[in-house]
Amino acid sequence: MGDVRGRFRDDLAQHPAPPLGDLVQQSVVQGRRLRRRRRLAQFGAGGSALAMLLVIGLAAGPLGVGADDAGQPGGMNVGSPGGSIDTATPSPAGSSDGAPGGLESGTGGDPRRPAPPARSTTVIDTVRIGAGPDGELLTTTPQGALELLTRLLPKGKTSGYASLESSGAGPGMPYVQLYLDRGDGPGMLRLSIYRDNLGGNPVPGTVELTEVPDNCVQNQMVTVHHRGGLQVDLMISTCLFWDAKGTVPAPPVLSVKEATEIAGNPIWGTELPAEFVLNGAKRFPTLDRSNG
Amino acid sequence: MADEDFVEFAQATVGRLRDAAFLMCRDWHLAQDLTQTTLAKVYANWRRVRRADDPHAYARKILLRCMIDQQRRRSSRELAMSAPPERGEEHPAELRMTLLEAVATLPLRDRAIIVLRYWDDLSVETTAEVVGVSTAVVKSQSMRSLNRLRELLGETRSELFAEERH
Repeated sequence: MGDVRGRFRDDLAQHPAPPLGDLVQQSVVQGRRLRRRRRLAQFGAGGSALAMLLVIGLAAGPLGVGADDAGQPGGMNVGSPGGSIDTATPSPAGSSDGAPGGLESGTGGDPRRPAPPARSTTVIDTVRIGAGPDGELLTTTPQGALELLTRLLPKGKTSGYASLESSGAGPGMPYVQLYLDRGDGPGMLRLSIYRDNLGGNPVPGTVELTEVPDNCVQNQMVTVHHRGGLQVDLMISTCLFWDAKGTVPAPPVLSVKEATEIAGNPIWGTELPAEFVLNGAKRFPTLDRSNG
Repeated sequence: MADEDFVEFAQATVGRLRDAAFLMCRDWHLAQDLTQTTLAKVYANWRRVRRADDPHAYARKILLRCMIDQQRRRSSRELAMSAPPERGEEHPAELRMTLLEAVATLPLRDRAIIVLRYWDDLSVETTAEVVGVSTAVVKSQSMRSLNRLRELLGETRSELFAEERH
């Protein structure tokens, strides 16, 4: 029996799971709706009861039913990327309380401009970096990184795949971009794998959040430090970036929590399982290059 | 608080539940949706569920029902994720079928029995209760399914289920 489970585990390892995100919270919200609907159906069984229900419902709706939803984390915003940002782990230093993710800052400044002084980086969490992948590994390519990234992302339509210049990055350290549409229009994400070789790196598993309110491309950047000084940066943009055409506002499509789970996946590295590199090469035979 | 109890239960079971769903449907997004729906239903019935002998088994029962419902109204959307056959053709190393792919060829009920018995490690009795069949059916279908998997996985993995003969 153990062997069967081991085989299942091996197969699961070949299919990395997307982040759980706020699934439990959303199930509470959905469960409350189910319960309310069931109660309403029970009440509505009798004719006179229905009349009473209408009266009570009208009178108590905003205080009872409505308040129930509003009290939920993300209760009225299920599936909305904007809502999910609010559930992200807040910065303990409170440095960004005034601008939680820049949700409305879709018209950010020129992303090519150097980061303004308002940039703030805070350690927000520590995650456990699991064991790295086994089996045949190949040097991480932009295509391979996109392949893994698209598998780790939550449900949605992806597009706008691109490879970007990354100054100072070595072999196997790509910098890629894609758009993700979770139903509210496309939003941009960028991921880079990087090692600065300067030493003094935070312990593996350290999660940092960098917020640059004036930069819509790197509006929020989650950095997860992996072993060997490697860091994975996942940028949640509030604009789409088109070469030489400027930017257009776009919703942030991941919460910080979701980005942390993605960037903290132990598969990331300067080498990836061959499957991702090979499939990525097939799936993204030609990648746009952005001067982002 | 009931909510706190539920959240504690949900957080303890969500990963395992989603893995089981994935093993049955091979689509993480679908598995995620089914897990959320399952937990929502558990929440809606939490008072009853928390009094059950085994709330985790109860959750699996709901998951299986959600999966059966979903299969009934299957759309083309959920099929888009499955591409192992094409990959296999282009990469000889992957021609060999994985257990996941082999399990996917089984009817849903048999798939559920295999996953519940050998991934979730449920007893024959609990599996029978979750699937809604007799223990005799669980035993016979387990044997039949394991034989089928052995055939599909070929000689190199024939030893895989040797210990399952009981």
